[in-house]
Amino acid sequence: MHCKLCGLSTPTPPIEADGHDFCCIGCREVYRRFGANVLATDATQAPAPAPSISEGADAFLRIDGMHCSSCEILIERTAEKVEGILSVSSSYATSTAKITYDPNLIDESQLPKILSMAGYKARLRADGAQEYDERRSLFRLMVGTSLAAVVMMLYLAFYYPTHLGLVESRDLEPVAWLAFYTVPRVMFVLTTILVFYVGAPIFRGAWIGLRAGVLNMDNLLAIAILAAYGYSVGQLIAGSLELYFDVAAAIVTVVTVGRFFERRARANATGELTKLMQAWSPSARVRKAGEFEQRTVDELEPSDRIVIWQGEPIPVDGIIVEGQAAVDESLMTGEPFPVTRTAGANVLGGTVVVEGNLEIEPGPTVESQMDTLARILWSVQSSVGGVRGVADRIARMFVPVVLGLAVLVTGWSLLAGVPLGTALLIGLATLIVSCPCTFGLAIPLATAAGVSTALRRGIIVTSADTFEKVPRFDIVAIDKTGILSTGDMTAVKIFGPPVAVQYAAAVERLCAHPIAQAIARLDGRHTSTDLAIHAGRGAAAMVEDRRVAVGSKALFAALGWDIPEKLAASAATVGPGEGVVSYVGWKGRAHGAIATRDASRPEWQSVVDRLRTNARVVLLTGAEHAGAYEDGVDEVYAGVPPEAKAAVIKHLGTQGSVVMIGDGTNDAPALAAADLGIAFGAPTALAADAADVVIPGDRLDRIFDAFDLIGTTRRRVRQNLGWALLYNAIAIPLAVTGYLNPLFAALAMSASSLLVVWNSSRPIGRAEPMMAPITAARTKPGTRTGMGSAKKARYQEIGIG
Amino acid sequence: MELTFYAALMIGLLGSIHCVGMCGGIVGALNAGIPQSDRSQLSLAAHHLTYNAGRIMSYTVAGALAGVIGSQAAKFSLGTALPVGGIIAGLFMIALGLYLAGWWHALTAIERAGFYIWKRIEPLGRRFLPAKTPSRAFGLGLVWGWLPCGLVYSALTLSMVSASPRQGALIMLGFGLGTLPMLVAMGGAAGHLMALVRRPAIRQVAGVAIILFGVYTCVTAFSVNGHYKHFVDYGGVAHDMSKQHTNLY
Repeated sequence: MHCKLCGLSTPTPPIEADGHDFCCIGCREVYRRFGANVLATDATQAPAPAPSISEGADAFLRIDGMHCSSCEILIERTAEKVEGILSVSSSYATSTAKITYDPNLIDESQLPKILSMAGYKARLRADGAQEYDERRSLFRLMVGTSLAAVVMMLYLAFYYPTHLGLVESRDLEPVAWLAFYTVPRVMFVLTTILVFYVGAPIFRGAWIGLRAGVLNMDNLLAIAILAAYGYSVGQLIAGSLELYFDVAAAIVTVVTVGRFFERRARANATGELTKLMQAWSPSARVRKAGEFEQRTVDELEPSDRIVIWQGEPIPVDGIIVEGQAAVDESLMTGEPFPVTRTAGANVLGGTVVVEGNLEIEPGPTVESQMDTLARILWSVQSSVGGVRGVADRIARMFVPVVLGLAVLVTGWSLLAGVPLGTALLIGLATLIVSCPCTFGLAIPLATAAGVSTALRRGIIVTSADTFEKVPRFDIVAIDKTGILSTGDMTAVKIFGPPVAVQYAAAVERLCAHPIAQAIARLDGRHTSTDLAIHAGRGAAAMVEDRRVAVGSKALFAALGWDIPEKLAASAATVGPGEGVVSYVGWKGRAHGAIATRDASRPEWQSVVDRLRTNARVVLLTGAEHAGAYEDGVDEVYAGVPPEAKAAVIKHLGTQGSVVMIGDGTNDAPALAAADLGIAFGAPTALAADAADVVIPGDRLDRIFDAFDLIGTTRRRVRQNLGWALLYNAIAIPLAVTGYLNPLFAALAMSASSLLVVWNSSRPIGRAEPMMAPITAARTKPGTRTGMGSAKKARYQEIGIG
Repeated sequence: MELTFYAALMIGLLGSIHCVGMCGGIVGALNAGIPQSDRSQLSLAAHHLTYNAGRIMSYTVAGALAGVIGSQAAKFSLGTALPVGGIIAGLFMIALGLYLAGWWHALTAIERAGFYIWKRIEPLGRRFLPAKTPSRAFGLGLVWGWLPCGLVYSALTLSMVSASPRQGALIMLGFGLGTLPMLVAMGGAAGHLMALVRRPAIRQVAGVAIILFGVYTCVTAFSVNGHYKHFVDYGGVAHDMSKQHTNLY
């Protein structure tokens, strides 16, 4: 007979239960308790729960008072229990949180109240920001350092010399009443204030950790402080002089000082993000029936009339219906001088009316570029949390292990006959010297600093795990239009007499077509009248008493005008992909031709060459021809329809890691499919959402900046983690073997924390800030979809932007 | 020669070979309780570590208790010249060796006795199930360290016979640590190791080793410099020799 559980032979008579035989009572009990689970010892048991896709409104909040990752856990856990809140993601590194909630059950204005608890204060991002009140913590710091200084001085004067053997204790006889009676009581009073007033934040943090069900650094510290303090008080009452008030005082002071500087450094590192978010408070003044109403952006309707007075920011993108003003658009376009906008002109949300007043109507989708960007930024920030990732799992398990170790070490020492006081000291040293905060800090802080620095350089990182991507890529896929070319048409070749150009310019001035605009820019001396537009083919108008037509071969065929052979031959030299030829003619025949082309960026060749030194460059375009770019790149995929772009990226992905640089909505699936997606230039909202990095503006060479930044930040994170491991690997064994004094332990721990903070807040790379803090995109007209944030997964599923 | 701690270690090591089946079951159950999202090597290791820490802590406390009981018993010793303690310890170990080798299941009777205590303690453990976090695993270990197990009980008799709470705790600590390698290996689902260990030959070898150790203990109990002289009576007063053992080794 064999035991049902462990398979060993059963005794006679066997231990029986429920019809099964067991070899011993232990096996029987285990089987009873755990049942069938137990028989398979394979760890991969439970099926993974299906990931829930939360559809709901997003809100972003500022939360003051977070100081470590258990704060995140607590806030997230508490908030997620509330009916109507679907998911919460918070980050203590940036003091922000993103809430996804069901707008039918909860109103956005209720969120701050729900999330303010146990010393945290939550605010909607729209409520503007208050400066973090540093005065209280500064006061605590000063009190702490002075009290601690006094306590240490007393120790130095009366107790350390005896401990160190420099002075015989009988030498203190003359001042016995002072040394052995008064001083201990004074120290008691001072340390009590120190522990319970200056150290109050530590205890609060410990309490938060307990409530969150997590053991955090504060728990360790609280135990250590209370142990030292309590033991000393007990000794005082018992009349002994084995007092460890210095340990308690030192721990509190060192930790408080360290945290003060850490908070400062953190604020500096993430300052750019904060500034940008503070500058943006979207609320609008709406004119309704002769009166003004304040509304938030979300409450606006496309038919509302928004009034903006001099000096105020424009809340959303829109068209001016009344008024004229000089608008400072530097925040959005980088244009340093105010631009005059009049009725009928488009204005962008986020720009500021410098002079004049405006009444605008928001576009059909009430949105602003600024809002989209701000939302992306908030999203990134609130996901730079310490909760996810291997490092934080280490941190979470770390503290219980250290606690266990300290208890073990103390117990062991006691068993070995070491006196209680010494055993306690060893245990305390072990408790304090370990620094799990380095694990919890290492990644979030470096990441937040990276995001912030990127912003300063005009690069927007849209997701925190972008920094985990290796910046050395095998393949770079580039979209043609908008990336290698500027997206604007310019005239590149002219055939025929100058007068043809002048007439053509005159005709085209009144047309909206990009080709027409390009031609119109060539000359300005004539004006035209009586315009007739032939859709898709060209236009004709009266110029100086002549009927001039400008357009494609098809237009001339339709008009019945012919094109001289010589002209046709010259025009034919412009190959497909090199330009579109528009013929100019009057009096029944064509006299000249103008080839226009999507102008290429001047720096495209040098950038592509630089890319080619490390990777294969692939041109990926929906256009029929690659044109002049063909020779510059390694491979060309032309005529690729939007749905297929993602498939091409995936195919390339089998050959190595892929970067995709694109800007249009049709690039979005490809951007999401690539290992690193960069939305460049004037990306549409969808492309920006799908990409990992957004580089607005005109300078293609900034992608190298982006690579540098990602690489450096990633290195930083590794450095931090490496230090965290090294420090703990050295410090804890030292403490356990009794070589470390709790005072030194406290110092070491604080120093290690500060080191990580300092490393993360070092400036990254060359300090070349942009002129304007951020130059955001001009969206391509008509391609804004107003869908708001969409998840990458969606793109990869449907494959279509 | 102070063999106590290392002796207990060896017993734990050898004895845990027997326990592979049952303890493997507990380990598997532990794993199953961890939510999928948390399942990484590190997290599993954390759970196992804390579970074992709790378990060993319970052993240590039990050892201290056994030592207290033993010291009380020593005070009431009948004053014979027989080194009762040493002999009892030796006999128990022989029984354990036979049990491990699968030849004689007498120890099971003692387990039944232990079951009465276990009945009270076990419900406390239900609070910690499923053991989603390492802290919960720790609590579970604390409770399940009291599971009736012949191996543990024989180690406890060693503690009792040492007649000192300190020694008793040390002995159980050593025993617990000795069981650690096997359990940790199982936590890592070391398939080959398990298969190897299930062979009867291995268990029999371990059992024989312990039997021999038990015999050795019995024999040395009679020698003057013997270890378990705690019950020796010098002129009617039980002399607690444990006070002379001030260091671990």
